[in-house]
Amino acid sequence: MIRIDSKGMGKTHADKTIRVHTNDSNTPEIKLSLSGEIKPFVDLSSSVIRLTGSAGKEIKRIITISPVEGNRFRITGVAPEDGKHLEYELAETTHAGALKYELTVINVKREKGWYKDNFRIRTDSTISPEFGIPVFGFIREP
Amino acid sequence: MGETKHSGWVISCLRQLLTGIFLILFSAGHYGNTFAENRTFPEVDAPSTRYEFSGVFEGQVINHDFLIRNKGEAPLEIIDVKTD
Repeated sequence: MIRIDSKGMGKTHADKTIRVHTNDSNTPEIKLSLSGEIKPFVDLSSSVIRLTGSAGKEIKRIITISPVEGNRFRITGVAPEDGKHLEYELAETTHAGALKYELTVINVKREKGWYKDNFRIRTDSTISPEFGIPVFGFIREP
Repeated sequence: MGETKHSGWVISCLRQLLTGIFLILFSAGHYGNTFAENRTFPEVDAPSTRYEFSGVFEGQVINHDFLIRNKGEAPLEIIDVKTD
């Protein structure tokens, strides 16, 4: 059996080959290959949330999370792993009959510095029951 | 008389020689056939060596079984398996 784990591959062409060597002198090697297209399970307006700006000023980003054809999920939960420097809100919308979500993320860190976090998005999909969206915060001096 | 005795001895020797040659040839043929019969080979047969998948989302695992069988008379050995 040949196995491909497509986790983290994104939209790409996957190709895996194994070579089997035998004691058949006429066919000492057999090449077995497995290939195909890997589709993204979600369409994100941005794969990373970057919160960059000056301390004391509003730093806000909105990203759109769109389920794709063949994986029409509903979001059942959203939370940052740390959440110390963030406020967030998830809103459900429809566009051309298709369900979409807007995740608004606001920086609450008041002083200069940087941080990282990761939003965990839980869904009712068996294909993508949970996925992450990384957050990077970089706060400059006012 | 002595010549006749000598001829008989020569004929006897020739007979023995011919018998020996026959036995050698027969034995060689016999063992040759036995050797040929024992010379069996494995013969690998893989009906399908390529699998194209579609409709796979990121995060899913793709599994596929390839059949490799032996159509020869001797045991087929998988000596090594390497991935690219």
